[in-house]
Parts: sequence; structure tokens; C-alpha cells
Amino acid sequence: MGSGSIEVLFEKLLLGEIEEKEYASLFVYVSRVVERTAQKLSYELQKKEGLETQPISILGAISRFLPEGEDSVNFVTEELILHILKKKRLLLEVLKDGNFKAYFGVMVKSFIVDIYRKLTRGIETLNPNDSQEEETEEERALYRANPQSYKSQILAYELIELKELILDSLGEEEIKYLCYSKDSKRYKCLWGSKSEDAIYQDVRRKGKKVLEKFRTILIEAEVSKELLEELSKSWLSDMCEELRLEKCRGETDETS
Amino acid sequence: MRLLEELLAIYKAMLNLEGEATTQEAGNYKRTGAPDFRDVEPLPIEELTSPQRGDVVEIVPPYDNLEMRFLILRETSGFFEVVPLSPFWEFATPKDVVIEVEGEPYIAQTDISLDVPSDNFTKRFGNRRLFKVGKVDEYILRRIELVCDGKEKGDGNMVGSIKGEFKRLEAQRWFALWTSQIAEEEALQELEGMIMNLKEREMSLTASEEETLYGSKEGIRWFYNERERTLVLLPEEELLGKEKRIFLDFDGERFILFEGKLPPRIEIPIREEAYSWRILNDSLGIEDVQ
Repeated sequence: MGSGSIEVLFEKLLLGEIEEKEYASLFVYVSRVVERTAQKLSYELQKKEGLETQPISILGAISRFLPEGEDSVNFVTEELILHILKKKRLLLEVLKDGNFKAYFGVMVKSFIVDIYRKLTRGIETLNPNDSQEEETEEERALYRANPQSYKSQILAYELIELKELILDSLGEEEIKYLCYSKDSKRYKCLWGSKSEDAIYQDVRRKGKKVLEKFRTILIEAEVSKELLEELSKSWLSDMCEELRLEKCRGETDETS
Repeated sequence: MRLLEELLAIYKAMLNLEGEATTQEAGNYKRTGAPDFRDVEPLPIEELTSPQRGDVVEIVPPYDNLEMRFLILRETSGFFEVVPLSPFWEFATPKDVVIEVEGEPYIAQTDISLDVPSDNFTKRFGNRRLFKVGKVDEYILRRIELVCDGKEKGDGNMVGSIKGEFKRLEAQRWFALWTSQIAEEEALQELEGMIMNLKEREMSLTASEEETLYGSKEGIRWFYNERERTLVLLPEEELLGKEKRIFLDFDGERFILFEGKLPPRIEIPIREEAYSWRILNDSLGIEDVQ
């Protein structure tokens, strides 16, 4: 198929003058472009991440969200053709300017990634081996909570990001100092049978450094008060309670 | 891989992936019968002629491998403040505001906003065309202004290394546009200066004559639009879409007016005093880009 004829077919599609056979040819062309673009994107990602042995597939990730038997290339192609028709006025001008293929290339790329982001909304990762990561049900629910509210979804992403940042810098042993500063009475049991005086000395000595580290993370990441409150309310509370369950066996829940 | 980390990798892959939409292979995908598309309502997209506050504008074609859209936030002292948009709303920082364009979420990135002279605004983007693809409501514009002026926090709550990296790349994309715009302005001033010099020399040798506003050379025609003070170059139809260079060769120097795939029309803003039929006729040329 010559390059000129493809542009003619697109023009006919946009003007509503395309015939059945022509539409079939155009569909095959668009689906091949979709497939190749998705493959190239997947390859770029793989190259970047150095995951030579683990195949990454954007189309594979999309297909996990489609009804059984529905082909991801066909699905993306059909959606893309609708998108093309919506952008009719702009694309007719681009065709006139002779820039169609370059512009279409950018459009296909953005469209595939948009579909991937919309379908997965962060609950799926591209690498199937990563998909079993320990995201809690609560975290998953947060993503789906309010699809219209991008603000709450941004907050959900940020909580996960911040949690990772903290866990990268602070060990489990250090987290207990954050718990103690949150509620000293409730979490003093994390020190086992040590006396109150010994705990106080330890917190004074090591806890100060931990809090300083924690503060540095927050400052460097420019964390807002709102996010910090959310972190304290959700993740930090959960982390501290998990630690308490693990280390304070036999303790009565006198503070709750 | 972390979620934002993965999105950043996708964004980078998109930025790096060059090339046109091409394919030589026969596809296995079958679709018989054209569906009825009569219900598909085209979006109200139009070429930007008179920019207004709140307009969402797309630069076509983009300067790199990603869609380029911006919002015209406000006009002050002869400049439009332009706020770059990105569909990657997941990277919102406290300086970004989430807005919807055509029902899709974007972030308005106030920290990388730029001022573009409002005079001849649509000609400030080289040979790119500007399309108005949406309009932002007044109350959202006011919120963006507050965030821009540091009086209110945007929709993100942190920056961190991943969002920071995204911001750095976005700033690079738009900064490149900003500097190329300045470079173009400087180049135009230089061109005008050179033509004026040559005109002065000519005037001392020959009697003043009425300027003809149009002319042609092999492969290209031109005319000077006095009302818009723009030199319009019209390449021959068979050259459109081909990689070409349009230049002026005079006084032992070469001045490149355009290089790349030829569009049907190239507009160059030039003051009336700097327009010279004789200089164009003697020195305008077009050649293949090697």
C-alpha cells in the first residue's frame, strides 16, 4: 500500500466517504501501526529497565482488562479510529499540510499509553512478575475509590511513593521510634521488658536521629501537611499496629 | 517497580521513541464493513486566530515526540503567560492544577509557565500551526492564577525524586521551545538588519522604485502581506512534504529561512522597511536537504 493512498483513505474516513473495502484496508493499516508502536514502546521500556529476560508488554497489560477473547490490538484500533474521527477538524488540516504520518505517530503512541493508564489506574504493573507486589486491599480500594476525583488518586500515588521513600531510608527498628513519637504510651511495649527510664534514654539517643532522618525525607520530597496527616492516619498507624501485634504479645490494649 | 517509577519509564520511552507511523507488513487483523460513524461528534477544534485567556492550544506538529498543549492563562504588559499542560496528571506537584480538556485530565504546570509576546502570537512558533482544542472555565483559571502566584497550593502534595525527574524533563521540552523562539526572533532581527543594509547600498546606486509585492523563483513563489507584515513563501506543490532548505544567499553569506518537510505555506514576520523584491529575486533559493 503506497503512503499516498493511506492518506487518501484517512481523508475519506474523516469526510465520511470511505467504502467498506477501503475501511478494511485502513483498519489493517492502523492495527499494524498500533501493534508496532506498542512493541517499540515495550522494547524502549525493557531497554531502560535492563530487563532483558523479562518481556514487557503494554498490549499484554491492556488485554488483562478486556473480556475473554477480545484482542487488545483490535480493541485499541477501534477506540483509536473513534478518537481520529473526534479530532476530524485538526486531522484534515494536518493532512493538507503533509505532516500526517509524523503527527499520527505521536497520536498513536499517546493513545496507547492513555488506554493503558486508564484501564490499569495503577493497580497493574507492566511486568507480570511485579504484579504480585504487596499492595494491600486498602491501597487497591483507594485507586478505585473515586474515579472522578484525580486529587484523591494523586494522594493515593503519593502515599505509596512516600511509604517507599521512608522504607528505603528507615529500617523496621527505626520505625518504632516514629511510633513512639506518635503515641509513647501505646508503643513503649515495642522495647519489650525494658524499663521506662531505659526506653526514655534510648529514644533520646537514637530516636532524635531517626526523627531527623524522617524530617529530611519530608523536606527533600516537599511533603505537604495534608499528605503527612494522611500518612500518619493510614500507613504509619498500620505499620505501628503491625509492629505492636508482632512485638507486644501478651500486652493488654489499655490505651485503645 | 514502583507505580510512579513505572509511569516515568513509560513517559521517557514515549519521549525517546521517534519516527512516523509506518508499517510495511500485512496485518492479520480483520474488519469487514465500515461501521456507522454518523453518531461521532467531532470535537470543536479550530485554528487559533485570536488568542484569548483560557484557550487550550495544541502545537501541530509538536517539537518533539510528545503532544504539546498549553493554556493561555493571562495577558500582562504585551505578553501572554502560557502554562504547559501534560496528560500525566499522576505526577502533579503542589505547583500543578488538574484540569479537564475534552473530558481528559491534564495538569497545568504553573512552575514552567512562559511569557510569549502577544503581538503576532500565532507566528511565534516557527512554522508550526496552533489549534484551539478547548477552553478552561474562569473559576479554574482564577485558581491556576492563585497557584501560579504562590497564594494557593495546587493538587499535588509532594515532589520527591520521581516527580522531580518528570518536571526536569518537562521543563527541558518547553525551555527548548522558549529558547528556539528567542533564537528565531534574534535570527529575524539579523535578517532584517542585513536586508536593510543591502537596501541602503542599492538605493545609493539606483533610483528608488516601487516595491513589487510578489515574485517567484524555481520551485517557490512569494508575496509580501503588507497588512500582516509577513513574507509568505509558497513552495511548488510537487515539493510539498519533501525535505528541503529555503535560503537567501547574499553578500557571501547564507541565511536559512526554513529547513525540514515543506508545508504548503511558510510565514515569516518581517517589517515593511526590510522587505525587498530585488534581494529576494536575486538571492532566494530552494535545495534538497542532504
